[in-house]
Amino acid sequence: MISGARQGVLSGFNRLVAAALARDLGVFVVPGPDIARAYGLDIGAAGLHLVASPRHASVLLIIGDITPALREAAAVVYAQMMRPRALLAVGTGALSPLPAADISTGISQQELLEGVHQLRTAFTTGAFQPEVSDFDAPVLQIRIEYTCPMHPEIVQDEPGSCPKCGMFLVPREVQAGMPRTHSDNHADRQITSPHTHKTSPEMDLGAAVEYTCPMHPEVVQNEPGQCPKCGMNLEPRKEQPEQSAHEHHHTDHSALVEYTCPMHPEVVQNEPGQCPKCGMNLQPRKEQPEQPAHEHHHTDHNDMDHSHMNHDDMDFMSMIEVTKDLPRSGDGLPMEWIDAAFGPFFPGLPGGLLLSLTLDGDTVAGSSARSLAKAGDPLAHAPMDTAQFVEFMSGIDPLAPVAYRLLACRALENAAGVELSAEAARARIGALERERIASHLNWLTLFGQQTGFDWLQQHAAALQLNIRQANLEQLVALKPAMQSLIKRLRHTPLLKSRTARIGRVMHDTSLLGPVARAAGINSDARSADAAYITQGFSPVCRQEGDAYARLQVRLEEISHSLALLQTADAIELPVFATVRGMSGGGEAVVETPRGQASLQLTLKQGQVTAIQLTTLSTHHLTLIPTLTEQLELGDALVTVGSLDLSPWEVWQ
Amino acid sequence: MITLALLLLLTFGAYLVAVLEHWTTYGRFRPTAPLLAALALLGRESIVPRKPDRIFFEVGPVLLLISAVLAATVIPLTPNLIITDLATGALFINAALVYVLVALLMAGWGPDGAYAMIGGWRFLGQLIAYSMLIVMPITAVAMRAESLLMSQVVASQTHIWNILYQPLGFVLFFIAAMALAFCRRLTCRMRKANWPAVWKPSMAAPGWRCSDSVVSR
Repeated sequence: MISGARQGVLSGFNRLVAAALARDLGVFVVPGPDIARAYGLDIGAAGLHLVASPRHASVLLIIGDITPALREAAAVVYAQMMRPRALLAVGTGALSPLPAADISTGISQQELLEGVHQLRTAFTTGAFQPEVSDFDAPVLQIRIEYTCPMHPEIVQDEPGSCPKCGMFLVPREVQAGMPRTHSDNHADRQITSPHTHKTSPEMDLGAAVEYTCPMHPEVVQNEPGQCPKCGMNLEPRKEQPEQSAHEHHHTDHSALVEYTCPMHPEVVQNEPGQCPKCGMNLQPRKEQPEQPAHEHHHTDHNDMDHSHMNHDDMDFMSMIEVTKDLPRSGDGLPMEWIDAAFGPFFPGLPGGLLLSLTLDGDTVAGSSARSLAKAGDPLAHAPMDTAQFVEFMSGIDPLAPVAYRLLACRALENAAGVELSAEAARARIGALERERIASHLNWLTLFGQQTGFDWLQQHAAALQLNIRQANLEQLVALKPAMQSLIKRLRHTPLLKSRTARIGRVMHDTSLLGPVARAAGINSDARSADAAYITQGFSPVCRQEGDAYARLQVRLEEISHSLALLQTADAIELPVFATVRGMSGGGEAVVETPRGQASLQLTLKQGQVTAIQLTTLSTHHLTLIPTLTEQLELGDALVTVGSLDLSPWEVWQ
Repeated sequence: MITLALLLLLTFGAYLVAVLEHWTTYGRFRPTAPLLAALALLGRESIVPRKPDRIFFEVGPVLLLISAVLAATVIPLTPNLIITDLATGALFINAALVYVLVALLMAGWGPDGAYAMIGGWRFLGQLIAYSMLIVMPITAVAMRAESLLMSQVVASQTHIWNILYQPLGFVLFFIAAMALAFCRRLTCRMRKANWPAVWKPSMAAPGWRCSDSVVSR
């Protein structure tokens, strides 16, 4: 029995189908397949296949503890999955608003295999049930708001016509409880459902009327007066027609719309359809305000109700008329813009990153990005002892646990004044460089997914899983495979033309990591590290600063890291030998796979009381709007991907 | 007998394409995967997006299948098996295949979602590029036969096959047909799932059958 079973009886045929369902498990991974690989989980080897859309998935796999924001997004994903569906949680605590997990296990390949085995049994026996429960969550509730197709800034809770062009407002669904996407003049107004909406008295009297110039519609003010452009007297106009002083359902409003034939004005009916005389499609028209039985108590603005808008003139709209208020894009073609969210679980983008794009056709007209992977300030924590602190830092970013562990150890050693032997320092380099290779391969997998190179996706993912915990001998054995991957990628046709010249960043000195090095900025914390200097380290640099240069830098860094690993000749995870009762401050800098991270901490009697952590993803996230501006959608996604952001190290 | 064998061969070809596709996508060779997937699809519920354009949503996938079947009707599979030998056969194939574009655009528009719509556009972009490559070799073949009758096209190859007479045409045609059979994956990912069972044979079939028509005798 699974929580998302289908209603039905497990009859003979259904039994066969259920057996097939149990063998054909498409999985949608939350927060993302990149996190699964970073934890060393091989989804394919566990008998599941990754799918890109929740509609193709029958299993929702949740990995590790995730924030409430991600859980809400996962609930939306779960609701879109077709039954029979099941929830498999590995190493996850709270799941609300999602239902309880059907199978929960720990984070390891062995436990995942067992979980999938249990899941198969659950599907075979419980895919069809006579009694099923439905899944619902507050985040799935929707609210209808109305907006003008021409003026996206006009948003209201009830139907009506646009105060600017008189067109009928079109309904649009938004998530209940979410703020308006475009706030109008009444942004401060309470947002409630249309049925319970009542307006405050001030709104009825004052704010509902605004004054505008008949010649210059852009001149709008709250008080009567003269137009600053032509000096004409401003005319009053209702800001939000049918503003919600009326306590009626919007079903009443639909009665206000009547349909008429453009050729035969005598044909009038309440529903859309064809003209009985000529067969043309009837066009909507607003009835005159005095005609219908308005049940609402019109008070003061009864007489200005639509008198300033001649809807009848709008019946035949020229193309110029229709498009005159549409947003213009760079090429000057007016088009309808759509807002689409790419993330937080979009295939090809790092899991937990929410990219909101405004699309003009398939060109990006505007974008914003934020991370849903971190809630609040994760650094505001209670004092903890040094061993706890090292563990806390290792868990801060699942995509780079070793780098953060090293950062914590180094800062603590700096505070305690511990000097490390050259041998131990080399072994740490080994661990860090191994993680760098694994992280770059993880990025290559996402890159392969974005650019449509299936082979890259498969090879990079397999290599990453092997390298993650490999010892020196295994690494040497994997070297030829890595070199051939790099060589093949360098000789892949069309890859350069696909990625060169997009997402170019130059001369931004606040850049860090491979993104900076691809733009010719020699920023690498390893250059100042004694353990690296003795090995003759010099950072990889490129000049172009585009997505292709970033790919090149990462590929070369994989080779460099392999060479560093071989000279280091040891791999050992950093550990901090606790020094009792020490106090003071310490700081450290580590070049994580994504770039430099620095940490300052304060110790009091062996307890870490305050820390300050600076990472690069927070800054790189702010580059996205300028980088993706006017790019084609596919290029924009590649650009965002090429930054290799980690949503887990973004503090908002 | 030959007819039956040929039909079996074509079905096998379509199945092979599905197996190959699974292999390239997931990196695992599982000959039973398409069969299991088709059976499993029978068990999944059918969900409709909250505000679909219901007509487009339902008609799109069916139209896709219809256009593939229409294109297949004029193809002479054996001397006896040709459903209708239209006088405008070669033109009819192109006309029928154009409905693939319409069907996919409808299917992209139907669900009322940004991803599906973008998927529809992208497919349209790719398909227009490749259908040029489909149309041109068909034209070349018809010019050699000096007829649009498909049976005439076959008869014109009595002495020398078109594949030898116009090798470039065959290569271009083959590339385009393969691209059409496989590039659907890009958009299919973005669409509702109940239909791929229908999509697979329908999309694979035009590719295979058309290449057969050029190769056949």
